[in-house]
Amino acid sequence: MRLSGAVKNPYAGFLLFSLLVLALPLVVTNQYYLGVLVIIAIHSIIVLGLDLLLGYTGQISLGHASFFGLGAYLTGVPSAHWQWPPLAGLAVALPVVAAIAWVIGVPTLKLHGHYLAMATLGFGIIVFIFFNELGSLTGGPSGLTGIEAMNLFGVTFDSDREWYYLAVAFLLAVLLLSINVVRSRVGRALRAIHGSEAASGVLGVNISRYKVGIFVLSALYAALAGWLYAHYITFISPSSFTFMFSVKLVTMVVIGSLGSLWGAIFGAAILTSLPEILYVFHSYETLVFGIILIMVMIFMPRGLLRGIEDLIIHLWHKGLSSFTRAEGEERP
Amino acid sequence: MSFLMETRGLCRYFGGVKAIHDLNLEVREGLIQSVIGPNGAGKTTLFNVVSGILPPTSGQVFFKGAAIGGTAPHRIASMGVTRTFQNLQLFSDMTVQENVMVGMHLKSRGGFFTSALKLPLVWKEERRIREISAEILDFTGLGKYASLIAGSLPFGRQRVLEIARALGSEPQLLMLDEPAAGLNNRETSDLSELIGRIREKGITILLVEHDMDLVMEISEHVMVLDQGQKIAEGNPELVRNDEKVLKAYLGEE
Repeated sequence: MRLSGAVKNPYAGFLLFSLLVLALPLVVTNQYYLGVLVIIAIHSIIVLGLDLLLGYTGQISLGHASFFGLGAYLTGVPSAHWQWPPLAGLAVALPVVAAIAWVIGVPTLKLHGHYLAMATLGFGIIVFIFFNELGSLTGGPSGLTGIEAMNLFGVTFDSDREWYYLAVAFLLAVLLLSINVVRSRVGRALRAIHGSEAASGVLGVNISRYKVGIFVLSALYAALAGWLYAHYITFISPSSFTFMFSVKLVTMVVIGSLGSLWGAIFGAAILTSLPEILYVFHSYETLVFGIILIMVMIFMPRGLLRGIEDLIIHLWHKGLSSFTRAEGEERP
Repeated sequence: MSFLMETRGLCRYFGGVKAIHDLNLEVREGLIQSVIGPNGAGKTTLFNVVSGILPPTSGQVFFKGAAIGGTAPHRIASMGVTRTFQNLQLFSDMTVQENVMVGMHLKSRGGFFTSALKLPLVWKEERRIREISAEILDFTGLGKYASLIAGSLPFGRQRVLEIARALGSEPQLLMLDEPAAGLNNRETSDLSELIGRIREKGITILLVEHDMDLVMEISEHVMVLDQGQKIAEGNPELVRNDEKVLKAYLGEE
């Protein structure tokens, strides 16, 4: 009955989705649209991690823009200043971000309540200040130029088409890992923590360990996305990694559908492409954007993906019942 | 004589309220034992302290001789103690079978890394968890509900699911907090039969229950709490006729 990505077997859904996105460049050939799709894929990687944290485990982070930024700067700075290859940057970015997330997560996730949200909020602001003030390394507010283009094992990625396939490859890999996690002992433990901490505790789930684990994993996703972003745009500035962007990432999860990986990608796609579509509204863009968010929250509180699903099921049943009435059958 | 679980001078205060005060209580291995007492006698607080949800104010809880008071719930669970909740704490968005699979958390190993990569050891383990959880569902009579969302079950079945989930952890001591609350007669007699079968598996049962017929029918030993202290204990017949119990709880006739 549920439509969202073959609930019974998400791997069938994964296969279908893979074929779909891999075939997309056959239809979309415009450079600009391909570029938007690359950004959607990069955002989706962050939002998948955030959904594991927020949608599945029920923990809010308001600092994922800074993990994204750290991923970008930790590869961007050595690339621009010392011509490090991208993979070397990744080898630095991932462990450093994981360590930082662990240090934030361990004390805050032991406590009950929204301490993680507060800690990550503060952390995001601190990181933002560092990006701005460490001018000699980061280029300060005007940004960091001269980041090398992506080069993996001797293959350089220049065109948007090549980049599309690269970004999609990483997105699919992250999606597959996430599906595996969700459908495992770990995923069940995370959902159990969300459902009832008391019950998961007495069944032997080490609550703080799982919360920290999923927080670190989601920070790693964001760092990976930041690494891709830095080498795609080859220019980064602090304005891309603000508190507002952290909020936007959370919004993508909520709008898409909490606790649905497909919803996360859907949310990232909608909220990333919406500004491009809303461009016609010029200065009213923010207003229209806000109205759309409010409408979704009022009429589809379970998120757009599940909302549309519910709507289709509703219309289907309505169609069926009007059909049976037309047949003249008695209704119960 | 050593006991499976015992409390020594156990106290748990909430501000000035002495929910449990200087409680000494022993649980023998392999029996169905009940804790009864009027509302506010400290029964649920006792469960919360023993299962690690609340730390004791003072005193100690011993499980198989080891002090467990103030230890985290998941550590106590890993020693073989688990419980159900009076106000249902099911994972209501998950399926019935998934609830039991979470119950088997301690009986499986897969971590973040092995699960994300879906290594062979993980899917072998996953298959084993599925099989055993299906057996547990059959044992508790929930087999045909396996793929339903837990929150959509009728209330009585949700109560049974709490027990099925707890069985997943293969406990040595299972604490049932008012499992018959809200059940009809038919469901209660099914429950009584289920508790009997759980005991036959060698699992010690500590029961908190208001349904006196059920308590008197299945208990081999009854402990009576009043105002956080044990005022009487013995076999059901003895307790039923105890002066202090009649006065504190059952009312004078």
